Amino acid sequence: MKGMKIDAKKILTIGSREVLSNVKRKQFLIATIIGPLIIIGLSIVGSIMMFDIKEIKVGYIDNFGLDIPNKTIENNLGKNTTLYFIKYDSVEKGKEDILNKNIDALIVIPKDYLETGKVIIYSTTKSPNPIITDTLSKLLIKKLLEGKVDNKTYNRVINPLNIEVYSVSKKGFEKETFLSQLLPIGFAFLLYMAISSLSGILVSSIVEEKQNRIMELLLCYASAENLMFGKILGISVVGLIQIGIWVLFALPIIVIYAVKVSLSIAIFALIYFVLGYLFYSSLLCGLSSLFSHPKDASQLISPIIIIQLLPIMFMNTIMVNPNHYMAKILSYIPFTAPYAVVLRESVTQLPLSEILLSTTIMVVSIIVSFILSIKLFKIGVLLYEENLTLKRAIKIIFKK
Amino acid sequence: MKPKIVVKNLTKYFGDKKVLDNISFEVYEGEIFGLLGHNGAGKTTTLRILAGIIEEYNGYIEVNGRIGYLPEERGLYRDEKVVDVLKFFGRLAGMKKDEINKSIDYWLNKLKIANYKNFKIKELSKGNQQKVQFIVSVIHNPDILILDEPFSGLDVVNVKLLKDIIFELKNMGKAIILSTHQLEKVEKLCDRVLILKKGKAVHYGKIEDICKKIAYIEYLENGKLIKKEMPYNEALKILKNRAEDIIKFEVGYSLEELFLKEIGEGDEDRC
Repeated sequence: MKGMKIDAKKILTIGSREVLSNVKRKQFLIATIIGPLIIIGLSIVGSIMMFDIKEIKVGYIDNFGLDIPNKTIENNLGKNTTLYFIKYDSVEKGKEDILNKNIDALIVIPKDYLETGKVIIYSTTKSPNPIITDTLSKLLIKKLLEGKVDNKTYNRVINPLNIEVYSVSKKGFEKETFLSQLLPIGFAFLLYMAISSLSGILVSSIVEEKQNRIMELLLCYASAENLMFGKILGISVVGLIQIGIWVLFALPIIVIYAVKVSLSIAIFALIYFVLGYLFYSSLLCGLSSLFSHPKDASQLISPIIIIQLLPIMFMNTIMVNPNHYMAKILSYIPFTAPYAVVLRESVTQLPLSEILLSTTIMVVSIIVSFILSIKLFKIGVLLYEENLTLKRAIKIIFKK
Repeated sequence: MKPKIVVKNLTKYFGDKKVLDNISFEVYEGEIFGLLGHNGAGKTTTLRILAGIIEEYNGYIEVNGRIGYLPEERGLYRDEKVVDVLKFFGRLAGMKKDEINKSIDYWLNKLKIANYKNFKIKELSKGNQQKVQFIVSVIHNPDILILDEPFSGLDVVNVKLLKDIIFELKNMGKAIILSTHQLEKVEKLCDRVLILKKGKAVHYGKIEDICKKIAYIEYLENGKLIKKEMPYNEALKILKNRAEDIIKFEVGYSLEELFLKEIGEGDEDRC
């Protein structure tokens, strides 16, 4: 019945079933449309709520002589927020009023402020409201410069940098906007979200088929190779649909703010998405086949997914210094290369030799991962053990 | 007649454990062949090898025709419609669209579940899910049908329905391999059997021949009454040589009696 090991028709049949069954699922709808909408909505609402405070009452003990007014609305963050300043004589009384919710915070400006820059803030929260610190900062600058500089200089001190960035390449130079600088980070997150979400779909699809005891039947009709390739193909199409929908979400922002998306970066991101997905999916296909319960599978799979976060953790280093040895190392590790290379390429032009080396490592890793995973898959899909640990799984693999 | 399946010296190890030890058998078209043995005897491993699910083994296997397989471990896509599941497996088996549709309608009617065509699998009773599973194994009109415990989970009416269908398939010239614990069904259905014990073939052939292989004999030896079960040929020698001492001579058991005497308690390990 199996004939050839690789049968394109069977791979397509398995792949198309994966696409149809996954896009129809509620989880897909939630992960692709509802989830991002909720996240975006909540972050907008959250940031509005953060600065949507009508009044803040701040107690102060001014030993420096700041001449704090009774109220002020001068701050960049909470445009509609009025700060009321109430003078205190004792810290104890201020603390008591904070606890009684008469005031939101108590500021103590020591006598030696000029020498030390030290200001003490008492508050019920672990970090004070940024509206308070922003206003206080302005009041201090005003006091320090009063009568010493003109209005123009004063405004420059308040807002010293109005940066315009131009990226220079052999083709010339072009102005970068704030959003275009954020684009590489967006790419990396998109890649992370897509690979994580797809890996999750892949693992649950395999574990579910084992749990429902369909694997044995499937293997009678298609070889392990066809089954694996079909699943990976199908779920990668699901991923492309997902990314497509996310890009559609981002399109209005890109158009409205005229964000220039470099074609080469977009191609790079697509190539490394495919390479990264193929690497992770082949690896996870083999590993997840060992487990019959999603809970057992997550023990092993979570660390692999977390490794992906490494380049995102090093994102600052990579973007500020794309040729740092850490950035280079991450570009040659198959787990992290897709992120590292896309991030680096988006801030600098990588030498062709580095790109070729990284791509070769990825391709070789994918091939090795596929070979190992097929072996693992053949053993794993017929294994029905409860509470399988990694140690036990390794023992079984070597026994078989 | 050319056999549909030829197995020669089939041996399979899982790690150090030998789960199949040099077994050989043949299955012909128009034959129902029973594979018997206790849990852990190696039946499922043998069937999985024949179905191509286990690819690594020692020995020679020849399969002449398409295989349909009903595994012991049953399962289908629970959230999908009966028709979609059947179409998927039809496509996997390499069938054309119109062939699939015809076959689906034929088998759903035959198994009296045509009304459930657009139901989700999870909405069906266990027995009806079992019928859908059976259709998956025959949808592509296979030449060889491997049925691992086909009657489990079915009520009396549906057992009869399935038995009739199996006979019908046999009459159509299909080679059918049947593995079941229900020995009375094996006796009624199977033409020949292979009995496995701890991975070794202990009996192979027609059921009546196998059952005749064991004889029960009671005879006098030096004035002492001896009661023994022994292979038929040995018992026959005693009968010929000392006919005057023989008190009782019985040949043949039911398959169930033979199974209990020969196989005894099985190894409960799964293979």
